[in-house]
Amino acid sequence: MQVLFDQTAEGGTYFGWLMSGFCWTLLLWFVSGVLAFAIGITVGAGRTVRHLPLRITARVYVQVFRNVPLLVQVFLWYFVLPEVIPTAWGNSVKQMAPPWASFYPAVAGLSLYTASRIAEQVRAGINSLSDGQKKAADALGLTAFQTYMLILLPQALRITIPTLTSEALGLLKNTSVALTIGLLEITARAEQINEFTFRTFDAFASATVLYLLIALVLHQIAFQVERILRIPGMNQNNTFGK
Amino acid sequence: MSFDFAAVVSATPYLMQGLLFSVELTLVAMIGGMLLGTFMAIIRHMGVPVAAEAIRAYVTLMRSIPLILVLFWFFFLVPLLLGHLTPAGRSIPLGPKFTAFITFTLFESAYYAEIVRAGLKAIDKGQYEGAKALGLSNSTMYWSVVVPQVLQVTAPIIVSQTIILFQDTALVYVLSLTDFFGAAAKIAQRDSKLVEFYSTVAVVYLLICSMGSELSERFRKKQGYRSPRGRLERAKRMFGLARP
Amino acid sequence: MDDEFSTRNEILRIEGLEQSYGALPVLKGIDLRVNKGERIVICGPSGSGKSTLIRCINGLEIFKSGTIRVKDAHSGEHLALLKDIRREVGMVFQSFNLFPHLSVLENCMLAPIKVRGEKKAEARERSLYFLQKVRVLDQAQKYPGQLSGGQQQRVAIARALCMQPSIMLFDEPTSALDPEVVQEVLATMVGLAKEGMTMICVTHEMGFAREVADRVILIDGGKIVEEAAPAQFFDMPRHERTRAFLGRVLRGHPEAARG
Repeated sequence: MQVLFDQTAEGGTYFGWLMSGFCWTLLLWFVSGVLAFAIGITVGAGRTVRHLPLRITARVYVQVFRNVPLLVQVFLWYFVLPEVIPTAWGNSVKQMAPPWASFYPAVAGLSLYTASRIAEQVRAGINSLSDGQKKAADALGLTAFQTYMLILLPQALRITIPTLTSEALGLLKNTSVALTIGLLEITARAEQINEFTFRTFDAFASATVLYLLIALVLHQIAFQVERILRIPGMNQNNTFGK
Repeated sequence: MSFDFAAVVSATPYLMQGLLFSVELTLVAMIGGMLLGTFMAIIRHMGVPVAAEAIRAYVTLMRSIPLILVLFWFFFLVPLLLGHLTPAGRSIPLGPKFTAFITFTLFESAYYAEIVRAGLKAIDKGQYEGAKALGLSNSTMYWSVVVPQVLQVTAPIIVSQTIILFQDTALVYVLSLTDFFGAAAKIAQRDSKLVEFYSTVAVVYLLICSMGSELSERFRKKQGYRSPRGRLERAKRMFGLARP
Repeated sequence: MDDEFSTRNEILRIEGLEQSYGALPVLKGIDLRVNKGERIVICGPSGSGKSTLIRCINGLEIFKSGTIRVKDAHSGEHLALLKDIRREVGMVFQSFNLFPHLSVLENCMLAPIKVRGEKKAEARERSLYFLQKVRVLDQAQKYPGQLSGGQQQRVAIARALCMQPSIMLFDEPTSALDPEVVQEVLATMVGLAKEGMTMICVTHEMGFAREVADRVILIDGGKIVEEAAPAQFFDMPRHERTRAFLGRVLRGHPEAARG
């Protein structure tokens, strides 16, 4: 791993490159994650409401954003969006400075794609709750919004924490797609280091280690979150028998 | 703003070639991945010493890093490794296509392995006991009794995973391979028809993957009726019996 | 205890069997001998270890210490290897454990073909014979999920019989059945017993025990508390715990007291 500490052409070390990539990955992951979570919960809940137009909209959203590959979606945001919006806006988008010009389309693609997947998990979680929950809430006079916020979502989210964790991990891995539109995240930097130093193993091994570290931290956080949110007596993972 | 349909139509043969490669890659990775994944899942389920641990490490690793990174690994390293093995010591140019086939198969096998392993654990313990009590060998037990049931139960998830696999094949773009997306990208950039080609590609993927999801839903619905344990479970609950 | 039976007839011999779940002892030294043609009924309170005992015999549980020997009734050889033992020991489970993706007939044919190496035609013939014996021949092409609990359990019995075992083990075979179909399964088992099948049956069905058993055994706390012929066991039990157990059980099964 010595190569990491060699000098690059512009001064600074390859390690510095890698760290810069690390920061971009984390930023992209975090921002996309928060957006995906918010949108996903809304759409997921939207698929279970009684109001038909809302349900249809939510279903169409999920169908579209789940079934187009992430890479294609990112390209659409980066290349096609500037062309189809009014020229003035298009021009200002195209003039954005390089890292951010790649960053925002990547966020758009990642968050909307991941949101569609989260929506499905949330929908499954809500549907797995017994019908009686909605009825009891109705009987108590809660509005639909209150029912979702206070009764249904708190339970559904606890049920779906394991799958949400794997979605978060999936999102982390998907951030690498941003390299195709020029964002210098971890994998992009690793490839760069490989090109400059020909130390293929070192370059990609470092990237691998970084991803594994982040995944490890993610699992720890998820474990703690699940522990804190646990409700006594509520079976999250029903495994009767062995 | 105009949409040049003609350009898309005239490029169709080239796009079809790309689509063919995407489908080929998906099929190879699915079949190879399922075979290898099932094998790995069984080894883990049986708890074979050393092998089970090694497989666990492999599966965890493959599922924790991005596919793009795995593609780079294999693309650069496999020829080097093979080179070390040959007497000449030179790296063998494997060709990006072959590398892609191997990489995707190995990558997907980790995901299929987890699906099958979950299925193996979900199968009623009694099935294993019934088979053992009859004296069936391990291989007969897995091949004739357990795995057929696992495949039935996990069919929807396997289909979903295969759809994801199909979408992931677009990533061979980073190796400059020409799959469906790559073909469209090439022409789009050559002729400056970004909007036309990228939207077309999106629509085609949307159609194919939607049909696939529909298939997955059909499998899921079919299962509602077939569960033979329904009556037994009710009977057990009636007698207040807990499983030992 | 059984010195009127010669050891030539012995099918099963268990000596000093001990088993624990972790630190918790479940079987604390079981000795049992079963001769050809004998019918043994094992009963006891839940958690007494009776299921564990049965499951140790054909290796579904690996026991801590003691010896279990099964004799091949046909060849007279003592079997040591697990796979040989399982060939000679048939088992019927509380939850049937039929293979849902195979037809009834296929369920019965599978083991003879794969384990005994029988030809398909021979296995098929034998399977049809036993399916008829347990009176589910007309269901042969159906799938387990389409059958009632009683029918499934009878198929399970036929499936075990197709392997032509030297001894049949029954682990609470009627406990998971609706009351209406319990009798049809018990009747099948009685029929088997009358034909001379050696069997060990863990059950709560005291009427069955009285009718068919040569010996009734009470297991409690991991040990054999009482072992006697039905008449003595039910009418003149020697041990306090037997009396207590019978008192509890017979309150639910008054017909067993009548005999």
